[in-house]
Amino acid sequence: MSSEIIPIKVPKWGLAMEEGTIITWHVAEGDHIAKGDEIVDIESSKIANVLEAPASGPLRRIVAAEGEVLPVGALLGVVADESVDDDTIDAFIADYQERFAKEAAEAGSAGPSPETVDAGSLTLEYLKLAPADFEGGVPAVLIHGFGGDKNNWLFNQAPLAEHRATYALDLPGHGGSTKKVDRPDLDGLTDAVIAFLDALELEQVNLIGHSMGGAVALNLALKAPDRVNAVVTVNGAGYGTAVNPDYITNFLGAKKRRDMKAAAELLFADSALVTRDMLEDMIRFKRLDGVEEALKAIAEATLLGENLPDLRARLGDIKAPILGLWGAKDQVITVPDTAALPENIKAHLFDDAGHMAHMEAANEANEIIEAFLEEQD
Amino acid sequence: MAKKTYRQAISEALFHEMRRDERVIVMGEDVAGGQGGTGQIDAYGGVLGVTKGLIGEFGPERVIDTPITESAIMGAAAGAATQGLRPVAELMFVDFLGVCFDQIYNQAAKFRYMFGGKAVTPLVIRTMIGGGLRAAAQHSQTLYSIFTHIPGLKVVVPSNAYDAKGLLIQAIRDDDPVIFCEHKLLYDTEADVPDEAYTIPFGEAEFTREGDDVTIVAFSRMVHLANQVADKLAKDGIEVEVVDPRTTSPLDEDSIIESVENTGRLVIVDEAPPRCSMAGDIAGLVAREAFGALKAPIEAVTCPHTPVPFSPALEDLYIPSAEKIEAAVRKVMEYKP
Amino acid sequence: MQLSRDDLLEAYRRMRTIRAFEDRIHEEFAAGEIPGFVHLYAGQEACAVGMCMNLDDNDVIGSTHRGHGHCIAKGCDVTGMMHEIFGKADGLCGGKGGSMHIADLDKGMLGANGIVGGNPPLAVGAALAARNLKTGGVAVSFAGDGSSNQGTTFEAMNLAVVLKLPVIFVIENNGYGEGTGVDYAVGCKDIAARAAAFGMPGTHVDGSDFFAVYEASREAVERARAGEGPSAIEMRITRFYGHFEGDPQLYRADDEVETLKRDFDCLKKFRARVTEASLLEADQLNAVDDQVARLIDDAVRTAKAAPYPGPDALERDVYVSYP
Repeated sequence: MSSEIIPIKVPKWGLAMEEGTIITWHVAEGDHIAKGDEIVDIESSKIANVLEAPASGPLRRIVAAEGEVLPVGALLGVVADESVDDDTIDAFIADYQERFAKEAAEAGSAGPSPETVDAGSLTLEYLKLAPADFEGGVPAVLIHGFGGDKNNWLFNQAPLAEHRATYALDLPGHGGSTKKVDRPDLDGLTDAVIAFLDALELEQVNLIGHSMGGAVALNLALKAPDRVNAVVTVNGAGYGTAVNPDYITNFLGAKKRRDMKAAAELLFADSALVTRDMLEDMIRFKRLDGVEEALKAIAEATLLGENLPDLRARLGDIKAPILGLWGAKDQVITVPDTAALPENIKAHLFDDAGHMAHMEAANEANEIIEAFLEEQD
Repeated sequence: MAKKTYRQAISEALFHEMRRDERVIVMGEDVAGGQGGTGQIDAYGGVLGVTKGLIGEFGPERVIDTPITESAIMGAAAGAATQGLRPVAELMFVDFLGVCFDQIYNQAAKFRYMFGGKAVTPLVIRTMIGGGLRAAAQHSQTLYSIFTHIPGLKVVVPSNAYDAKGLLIQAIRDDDPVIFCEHKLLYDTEADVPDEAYTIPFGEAEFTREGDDVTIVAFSRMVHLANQVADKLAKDGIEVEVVDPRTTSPLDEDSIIESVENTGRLVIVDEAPPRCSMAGDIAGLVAREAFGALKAPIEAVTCPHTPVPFSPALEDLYIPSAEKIEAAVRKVMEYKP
Repeated sequence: MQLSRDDLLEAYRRMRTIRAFEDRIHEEFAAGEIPGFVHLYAGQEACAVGMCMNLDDNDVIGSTHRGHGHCIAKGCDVTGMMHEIFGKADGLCGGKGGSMHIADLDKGMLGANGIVGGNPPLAVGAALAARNLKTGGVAVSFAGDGSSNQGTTFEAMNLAVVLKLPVIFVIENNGYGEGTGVDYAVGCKDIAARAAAFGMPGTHVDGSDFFAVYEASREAVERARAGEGPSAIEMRITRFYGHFEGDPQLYRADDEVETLKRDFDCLKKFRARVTEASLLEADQLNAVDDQVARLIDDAVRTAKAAPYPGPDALERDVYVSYP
């Protein structure tokens, strides 16, 4: 019997999220929910996702109605044991709402903001999130894929940062990093990440790479084994499987949101996840001076035709343990036969996710990644 | 990403391009200001402060204060453009085009064609449009349709800070004469604007709202009113699609037609007078190309066929309002054949 | 000297009215009472009045964006002007024109003008009409140093000479075109000489000296009335306020206006001259000051209280008839 009242709040998915729309509740008031249950669909302007229950117990109140638009941190509902009486719960809700309104009025949520670091000839932008009150495990560096940026980890970085310092960086030619890419091949990108580790004096890290970033992570583990504690790839390149050239061509060629949509829909098993804002961000990024040239150079040097890195023969040489995660419905990079992978690679498939498995199966992926990393700490 | 004003966005575009290409020059009345006075140079930086600071970085050879002499400014800019400079000439208020139109429409606009494709005239004319400042009949007009009428000119009407920067950089890099129309009431509006340089291609409409019931095509400041109306009507279950063409020449006809083919209803919002206007132009386009899709007659919300009145009481009636736009949308929604 | 004591008192009244009108608008604008763009004439009063004392309602003037002084000098109703500037229905232009477009054609005031270089060709046209219709009238184009650089001004001057029209080009050189100095913007520093090059007499006067302005104007008007063609007068003068209300005037040295107000104030000069020569008594001038102050107070009070134009006014008077 616990008298604790646990609030369920609008989550903050990514730096830009300020509010969320309540789409569908999957549970009803009075239901007994378990921690990790999918309880409510919420949509930010960028993307929709499902919120998991933060705790187990009876869902005593649902405060936010479907269709409501609420700021990050606003109260959605409360979980509390049956022993807590209704008046206490009502008082808790009233108190929460009052404090929340007051805090919102007092200050815009001055959350962490991206920083830049000079790494060799490059300036790299990154977002650091770390536990506030303790050092945590071995830090993790998150490496996005081709055409992506640090914000691709919006569902992952904050949960992982509860346990360790996390650095989501922008690769050269991407995000807020230098757009001029002199070395667009895999070694060039890998050296950029090594320079990033040097610049931030990160001796040894866990590397979490998505897609092309997965290949960078694997390659880094080969080039600088001392720097790598563990590797996680999410629908990683480098396993010798084919990249869908349509994706690359459509992405490079897209000038309008409509054209970008055709490319972006290949990223997800559920194409409904592609929002207007997501497409707009991609288009806006591509309009920046130097981006088209950089992306084209990187695509040609690391992703297309014979230049697609095939690290299969060398994966067994990697000393660090490897966790390979795949969304089974990937339409961008063919999922390898996980049974045929070297023994040092632990594989996991998400049946209902596509290329962006860390977004589509975010909650599950976060748990698997954190459990894996904890084993290696 | 930093929020920046329309004014800052335009200023950044000028700084970017002047740093990038020394052939880019800025010329006009009081673009710096204070030359020949007893006080400071760069006293104005343009009457609304958009070009402030340019002369300090680029000097008087590239940031050229001119006498009040619009014909000479436009003609000299056009001539210089044919000879390898990339001038950004300022026609402070678009109303002043009357003083200098020949240099723009008989000269700059026609060189390429008249000279058999041999001339290149990379000229940008920045100018202010629009009412709302009680600036009366000769400082408040919305004249982009006049330029749009002239073959050889490209015409840009940015509705927000993000577009303003990308479109101005595109305009400066473009090899044709471009009329860049800035709405006076938008200078202090803010949007997310990247620090880096970027370009937005001409002839690509932006859908600022998406919906299946009614298409609103709106220009410049009117896009904001259209968005307000769309947001309001969404609560009543009317889904309004707002199309901001961003450039009137070239015009993204495909996006407009595509949208009307989906919604079957069209409201055009144009701050200019209604005759020979963008409103008329687009109504004609849709009547020709998407007649079969129309479920209701096309509505146009424009100012009346009068000069811009001075009195606030009259000017408020003159400029299209959110209320008038909403009424037009409801009218096309409720139309029964 | 052909001016009677009554004429002198009238000249003083007009100049004082202009000054009080502009000073008051400066205050009202700063208080947010006046919409739109306003450009004040204070400091230049002797130019408008010195010329217009030679004119009657049969003669026509064209003006600039800085037009209040020309209107008052030409006899426009001060209350009607104030109401216009406040955008009211009973303003001189029904609230449709505002500060930059005040006109009263019955008084021979062809309009203030929002376009630099807008009026010189119009004044030539007014002179053409006067000649052909044999009204005996002359036309005066008031323009500034900024306007003197516009092609329209050059073309108007040449046409006036070619047609030998009864028009006078007054160029009030107040030192600045917007925020740019004359020394920078006027290539040939001598605007009168430039006018003379078109084939007409061109003279300079100290625009703060009412009597000098009056004399130069009288000669030019007589010449025009006699059918001897156009002439030009460059009046060197200063403005006490900015280009527009709200102009921070960073292009002027800190003490510039102060010095000019001390040494170059046409009203002070006029008062000194007429009292020292015993042409007018100080009491007479003070009485005018009081009357003017009351007039302006009343005009502002009624302007604030007056109604705005109704919606029916919006589409009225675009044409005389339509279709």
